[in-house]
Formats: sequence, structure tokens, C-alpha cells
Amino acid sequence: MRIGVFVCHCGSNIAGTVDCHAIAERAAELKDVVYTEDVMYTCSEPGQAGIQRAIKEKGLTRVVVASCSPQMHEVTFRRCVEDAGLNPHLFEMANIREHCSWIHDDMPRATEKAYDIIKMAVAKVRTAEPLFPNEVDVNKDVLVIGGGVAGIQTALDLADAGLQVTIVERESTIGGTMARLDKTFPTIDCSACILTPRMVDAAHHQNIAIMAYSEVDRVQGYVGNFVVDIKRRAAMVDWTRCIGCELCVQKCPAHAPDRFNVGLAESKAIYIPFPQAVPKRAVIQTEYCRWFQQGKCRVCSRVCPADAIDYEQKDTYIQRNFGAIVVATGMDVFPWEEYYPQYGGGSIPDVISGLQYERMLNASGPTGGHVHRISNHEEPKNVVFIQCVGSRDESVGRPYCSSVCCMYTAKQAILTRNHCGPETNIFVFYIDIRATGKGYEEFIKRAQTEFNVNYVRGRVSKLYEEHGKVMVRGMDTLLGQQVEIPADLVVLATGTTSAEGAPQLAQALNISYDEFGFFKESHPKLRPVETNTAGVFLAGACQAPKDIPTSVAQASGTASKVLGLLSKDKLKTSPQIAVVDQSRCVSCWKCTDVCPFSAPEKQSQRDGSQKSHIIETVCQGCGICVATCPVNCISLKGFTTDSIIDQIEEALLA
Amino acid sequence: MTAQTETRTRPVKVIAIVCNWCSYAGADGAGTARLKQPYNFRVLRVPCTGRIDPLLALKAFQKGADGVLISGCHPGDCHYSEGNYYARRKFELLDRMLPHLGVESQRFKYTWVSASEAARWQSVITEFVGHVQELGPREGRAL
Amino acid sequence: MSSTQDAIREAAKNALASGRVDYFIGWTQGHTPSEAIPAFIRRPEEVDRLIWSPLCHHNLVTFLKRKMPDPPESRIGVCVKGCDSRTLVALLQEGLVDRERLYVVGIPCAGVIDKRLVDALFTDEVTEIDFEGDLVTARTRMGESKEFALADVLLDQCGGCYSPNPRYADELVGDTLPESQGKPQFPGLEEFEALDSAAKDALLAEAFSTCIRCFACINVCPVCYCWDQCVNRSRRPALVGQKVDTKENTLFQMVHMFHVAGRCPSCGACDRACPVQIPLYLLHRKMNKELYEMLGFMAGMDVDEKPVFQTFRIDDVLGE
Repeated sequence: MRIGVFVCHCGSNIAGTVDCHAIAERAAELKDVVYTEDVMYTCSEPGQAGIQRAIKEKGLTRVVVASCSPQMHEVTFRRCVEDAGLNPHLFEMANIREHCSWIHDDMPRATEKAYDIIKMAVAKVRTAEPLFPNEVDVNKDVLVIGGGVAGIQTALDLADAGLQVTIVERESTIGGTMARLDKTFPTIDCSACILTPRMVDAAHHQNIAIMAYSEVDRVQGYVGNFVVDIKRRAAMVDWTRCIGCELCVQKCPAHAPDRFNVGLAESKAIYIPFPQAVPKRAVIQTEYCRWFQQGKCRVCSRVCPADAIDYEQKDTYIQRNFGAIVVATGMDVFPWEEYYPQYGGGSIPDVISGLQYERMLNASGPTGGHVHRISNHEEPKNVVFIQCVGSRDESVGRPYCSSVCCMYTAKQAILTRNHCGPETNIFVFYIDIRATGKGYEEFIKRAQTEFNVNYVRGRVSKLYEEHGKVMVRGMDTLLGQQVEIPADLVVLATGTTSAEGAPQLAQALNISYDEFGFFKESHPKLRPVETNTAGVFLAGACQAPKDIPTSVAQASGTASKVLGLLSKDKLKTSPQIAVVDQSRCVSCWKCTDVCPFSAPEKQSQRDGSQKSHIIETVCQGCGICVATCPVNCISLKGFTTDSIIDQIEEALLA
Repeated sequence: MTAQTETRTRPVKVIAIVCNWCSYAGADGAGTARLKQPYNFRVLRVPCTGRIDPLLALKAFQKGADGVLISGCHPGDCHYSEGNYYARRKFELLDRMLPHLGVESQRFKYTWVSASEAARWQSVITEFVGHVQELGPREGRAL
Repeated sequence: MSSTQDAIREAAKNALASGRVDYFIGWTQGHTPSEAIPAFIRRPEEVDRLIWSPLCHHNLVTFLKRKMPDPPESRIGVCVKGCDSRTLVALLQEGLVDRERLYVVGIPCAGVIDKRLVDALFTDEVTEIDFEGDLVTARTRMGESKEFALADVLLDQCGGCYSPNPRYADELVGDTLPESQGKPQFPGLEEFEALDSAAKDALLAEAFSTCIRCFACINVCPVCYCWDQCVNRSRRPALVGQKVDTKENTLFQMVHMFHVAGRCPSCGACDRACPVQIPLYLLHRKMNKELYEMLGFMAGMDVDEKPVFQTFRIDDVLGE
């Protein structure tokens, strides 16, 4: 074994505190070390060439570079030694910059410490073994979970690039939250006019399959080879026959709350959320259906011209294979009624959520686009908007900014002016205005000036009914006085919250989520659409509250990451994984208990016994099994127990 | 100075075993921010706290460590999603048992430092090494 | 007592005669009537060799641990006391014994005696111990005889026994004892706990310095089953040095202790097996006390439970 040690000055970053020349000379005394050198910048082109030259000329078989953090340059140097003919895993880094020179200033002591760190790295590289990555075939099909605008965008981008995409959507139609919006800020263009053509594009795209009214049930496998069980919920309507004619909806005698219109109207037990639904297929909501509840009716079955009604339908499960998964499950509206008793908790009819108002403003909505009070259907004279309901409010456990409410409130205020005319007074209670997007600040200004919307800085402390009005009591913090406004209609700028069931989905996908249920990206700046589970990506508001432009931009970014991944026919897997010495395995199966990835399997032996075997391509290299195996017959390549003990011994050796 | 007082006052040796994804990166961040730390600890990098067998900590004490620190991702943030949950149980037991194995409780600590908590790393390691230094070098006979 | 003994013999006879088991593990008299030893009974006519008395301290589950059933396909009858049953449950939790191959005769147990306590009452070798209700009569080879209360010579762990009745059995013989109320007791630790770290270190160093690495504690332990592959024997990885010195001996014992954590119910078999009288009960029992305080966990209580270190709860309240 011939080890070379290269000590980097990193200019003065290391050499300013550590005597690099002295420790390079001392390192030559270590067992198996045959060559040492101190170098100004090891990572530079001449620095790397020097390492490669030494490997060839001095016949080095292992290399230690003492420089910065392995998180900075391990990849660089592994490639460097590999190019010189060494296995990249016969290389070790000693971090004498972040963990030494930068945190100390006394040169003798820092030098002593740096030398210890080098000793530990030499001890580790001495036990190193050449490692080789595995290659696995890649399935190029992509699963997109969620058919909102982000999911649709990712799917279209991927499908246009030639990949087969399946969109799994929980509702009976794709479209997501955007389908329920009236207009979009800051352009006031019609939401449906932008979205519905994209929905149709997705439906007609030969590379896209839409599985609506379906949910991801279980995810197994790993990047390039996911196996996903999808549950297709029973619609009680045979969708291969249904033509979306809505005859059943017209004739259905049973009423049900209209979820699409957020309770502002009633729908029928048999249901198509909106006329532009994609796919446009009916679903029986069995909890409201007379046949399911009372055992009589069957009107829909009689009127259906396509003979599509199937009261016996059951949930079905199908299994599909995918190479990558994009999570685009969007968000929900904050359930303000549960958290804001001071705003009536939902008991005051003329206090409505932002999304309800969105439906009211919509020409194809329940009021035909007519703004009126819920209580008496009169046109409101005083409309009050209250911002940050369920956002930036730690008292309701939502410290974050929902990022869209300032803008949609301004939009709704402008639309109110358009709908109700100049006589109506419009007030907006706000904490701060957040208008950071392109054209956003100008949009707010227009609302204030051109559309005469009164912005009042302050929180509303209480809403209560008096003489047929909703009294809005709050503080104008700029004037420093209490204000009270008798409102006809109060619209709450309800914040966004993570989609229902998000934590459960995260657990199925083995991705992280934050305390609010939003999914965690791999790195907030450098890997914003990846998750820490290879092959699982994020798009849209499931990661954090986002507006439409940001969601769409991120969705396309996600698509490009997926394309990058799936542009290869084979994927290299990390060789730093666990391996079982089957001759020592006692078949206690603790490894199978603890592995988060189901990597250990029972492998039959010639003598009929079973021993643990770790599936190379499934193992993620965490080493939980290694620490659990009582006989220590599982070793983690690159982090063996002996290498850890050797490092401990070196560190403690005087 | 007698030989005995010399042993008592020599700088202690602390082994810090940290996970690659959170605490090692947190310590890197502390370095990048030039946050000053004690000299007498040595960092050992492993993929996950779930990789660390409590027996390795005992081995470190046996080999002469005066203190052992284990640090990983905060619960819920494990890169492998579950490793630190297993580690938490194991190291809690070790933490409770060590005083009964003749190792003062302040010589062992397990904690969580995320990749973004450079300042927390600095305070964790500084306090820990400080406590160990107060106790002085170990002269255990059993471990 | 004799009725329980009769019931064991009856159960063994039926199991053997019906072909339900190939052999039956119980207890029989040792060299003298002062001791009981494990017995493997293979024919119905042999069952009269089986005995039941407070001398029957051996945990017979030891003979069921992995690779021990010989031949491997054999069907086995076995007697378990309350504490023994918890070690069986621990094996069942891990799926390491096949319950279809077992016929478990459970015996509610009011306590077994600590022979060491009896021996200490005499200068001569005790060769005969009789039980009459709560009274014990012991006689020595030289004919010296003493009577004393059973409670005075019980194993200390039997006093506040938390599980006198088997947690798992196919057939229960004898009368069920009142289940323990309230929190489990971990007796005999107070003195040790009160010591400071230095004193504990000294005590353990003293105790472990005499360890001869005979593996008796490990081999007798019903939930320690790695045999040849025990990491205490392993050279790669070299976690434990093979030199018999105090520090390596400590680590040797730590391997056992941490490997049975969550599966050890403090049956005390290791302690009784140790030929150099290392107080092994001390650390094991202390560990179990800590586990109970930590997670409310006790090993081997429920077949459907997972051993505590092979699972976790996201909301475990531990650490900072």
C-alpha cells in the first residue's frame, strides 16, 4: 500500500493558521505513507495535475488530500484520482479548513489538530476498498401526482419532449385551484381562458394519460424504477361509456353541497364540477344519493343515454412502473372558520372566504357574476377585505406568508369596483403589502388610485352583526385610532395551507415535509425542485404557497430536471451501500425491520437456510442496518466499523 | 507541577461523530462563518446517526476519549427519513446508562444540529468540550 | 405445589403420547435433592422424572433459541415460568421461533430460590432442600439442618415480580397468581445507584476484572443467539479485543447488554450462570429500569409488540 498525502494551503485560508509544510513533512512518518507534498491550491488545475503526476511517478495506490470540506471538493478529487487510474474510493479528504484553520487562530495548536485530522484520514484510506457503482435500467415513464396548473405544465413539457406521462388527480377533473379562480392578477385576464385550453391539451396529448378520481396508494422502488399502486375511486359511473352530457345531473332529484363553488350553491348527488371539466365525466356522491341512502330512485340510470351508471362499481387498484415522480398536489384554503371565532367562525353569512368571493365574481359561478350579500341578495355598499387570515398569524399556527393574498385581494377589490360601480366603498385591512412579482406593485397602486380602494393598515379585531350590517372593528395603525365600518360584505383573504393528506403522501413517497405539511425541497437554493429522495420532484404550491406564474415557472424547471434524469438509459447508483457477509449472518432479520427502504431481502441459500441480502440498487447507504445487526456482518462500504474504530484510535493517540 | 496534576490539566480529547447531511454540514457552515471553537475535538463523519452503534461510543471511551458527542439531523429531517429516530432511542439509553458505567453524564451528549445551524454547532461543541474540560481527563478503569 | 408438578407431568405425557411434541423440556432433580436441572423427556413413561419446586430456576427458553432445536424440525414441549415466558415472547416478537412447533406449558410462579443464599447459611455443602408451604428445610452432607422462610431465600427479583403468570402459553397449569398492580419494581439497585461515577467505575472494574470470557452468560441467555458469529468473537470488525483484561471485558459485557436491550426481561439467567459471580443482574436490571422510565417499555410483554430498538415513534419524547 502506497499512500500519498497532499496538504493544501488554500492560499492563506489554511496556511494562515496551519503550518502546512511542517505537517506534510510529518505525515511522511505515518504508516504506508510514501509521498507527501504541500500545495498552494490542490483543487486548481496544476494542483490536480500534481496529484495525478505523483500517482503515476510514485506509484501511489491511495491518496489523501488535506484541504477543505468533502462537501466542497470530494467529487473533484475523486474524479482527479480516477483520471489518473485509481479507483475513486481509494481517496479520502481531511477537512483542515472548515474544521480547523477557519475556526482557530493559534498556529501551533491548529497545526497539531490539522495533523490529527490527516492521521484520521490516512487511517481511513488505509481500510478503503475499491468500490464500483451499479448501473440500473431506467424506466422513462413519469408519474405526475396532481393535475393543477403546475402538474399540467410539467406533464405537457415532459410529454412534448416525448416522455409518457400519467397524471393522477384526486378530483374527478384536472384543473386544481386555478380552475376555480375568476381572473388572475396582475393582468385581470380570465383564469379559465388561460387554463382550460391547457387542460384540453393535456387530455388530447398522445403522451399523456389522465387518471382522474384516483389516488396514489403505495410507492415502492427507487429512482428509475418506481412501482406505484394507484387507487381508482369508484365513481359509480362507467367512464368508458359516460359522455358528459349532464342529463343525469339535470334530472337528479337529490341535492348536495357544491364543493367546486365552496358551498355558495347546491349541486346534485350526481356531479360534474364545472362545464369545462377534463375529463368531463359524472361521479355519484353516494352520501347524498337517494339510491345509496334510501334504496330507491335510479333516475340517473334511467335517463343516461350511454347506459353508464354502475351502482355496483368498486374501487380498483392498478400497478404502474415509473422512472420519476413529480409531486404537484397544490394547496388548500385555510379553514378559517375553525380558527377565527372573533370573525364569527363562519356563523355570519356575509363574511366569506376569498375563494368563495372568487366564485361569486365568476360569470359562470353560482350568482352569474353578480356581487351580492349572502344574507339578502342586495348589492353591497360597503365591502371590506381583511388580509392575512390564516397567514402571518402565529396564534393560529400559521407564521408564514401565503404569498398570494395581497395580490388576489387587490384583484378582487378592483373587480368589485367593476361589478358594483363607483358608489360602493371598498376597504382593505392589511398588515403589509407584499407585491414583489413583475408588475405587482404597479397593480396595487392602480387599485389604490385608479380604482379608489381604501387601504387601511391594521388588523381587524372583531366582526359582529348589528342592524343588518357586519360591523368591522379594527385599528388604523397609521392614524393610531380605532375604526369601525358597517360592512355589507366582508371578504377574508384566506391564506393557503398544505393540501389535505399531504403528510401521508410524503410518507408514502419517503420525502420530507415541514410542520405545516408543505413538502421539503432538497436544497432551498440549489436544488429547489428536487427532494431528498432521488427521482421524486416537486412542482407548485405543494412545496410552499405560490402564485400561478411561480408555480408554472417551477413546473417547467421540474420538467427539465426530470428530462435531465431520464435522458440516460442507465443510472449509476452510489457504491457506498451496505453489504452482508452472509457467512456470518444469523438470520435475525433485524435489518429488514429497520431499513426505511426495504433494501434487505431474504435470500435462500443452497443449504435451505435464508440469509439477508441487500438489494444494491435499493440501498441508500444510511447504515441503520449496520448499527442494528448484532453480529456486525453488514458493513457499509466507505464507512466500515473498522474504519471508524481506526479513526477513533488515531484521533486519541497522543 | 507534579505528574498527577499534569494529567488532570491536560487538554481533554473529545470525539464528535456526526452525520454527513446535517451536523457535518452545520460544522462546515460554522467554519465558513469563522466561528471560533475549541481545539480539542475531532470530527468523524458518518452518513447518518442511525449508522452509529452505541458500542462505538463505548469503544471511544475505552480507547481514551474524555467525551463523545453524537449529532445528527433534527428528528423529522433525517436524510434517510428514519435514521435519527432509531438513533434517538439508542442514544437515550446510552445516555442514561453511561453514568452507571462509570462515565459522568456530562461526558456524553447526543443532539441535533441542522446544516443551517452553524451558530448552534459552535455553541453545542463549545459548551460540550467546556463541560468535559471541567471534569478533566478520564481515568476510568472499567471503560 | 405437587398438584402443579402432577399437572406438568400430565401435560407432558399427553403431548408426548399424542405425538404433539417430539420431546418435552422441563426440570428434574439434579445430583442431589438440593438442586433442579433441565430435563429433556422423550417418552411418556419418563414424565415422572419431571419436578416442580422453587428450585426450578433455569430458564428453559434458552434451549429454544435459534439453531438450538435439534433436529431443527423437531416439535418441542417446554415449561415456562412468568419471567421465562417473557423471553419466549421476545423471541416470538422477532419471529425467531416457530410457535407452531412449540407446545408451551405455562406455570404461574410465586418465586424461585436463590441457591447462593441457602448455601451462605451453612459451612457445609447443602445436599437437600425440602419445601413445606412457606417453610424451607435445608440439610447438609454432614447432616446439619435448618428451617427458614421461603421468602428469605427467594431470588431478589422474585419479590416484586411483575409477571408471575406466563405472558404466553398453550396450556396453563397451576393456579393463576394475582397480577402485579402498579409500576414494576427493580429491586436491589438503590445501593448501586447511590454511588458516584468513580465508585461505579471502581465497582465494575472490580467485577469485570475477573471475567474469563467463558461465554456462559451469553450462551445461557435465552435472547442472545448469534453463537459462533457473536461480535465478541469477531476479528473483523474488531470491536472487542480478545485479550482478557478489564476494559476489554467491560466491552464484552456491554456487547451482551446492548444487544439484548429491549428483549431482556431481567430473568437473571446470566447472573446465575456466571462462574465468577459477576453481578450481571445489576446492569441488566438497571438498563431495564431506564428503558421503562424512558419509554414505559418492558421486554417480552406482548407477542404483537416490536422490540423497542427495532422500531420508533415519531413522537418519542426523548432528549432535548
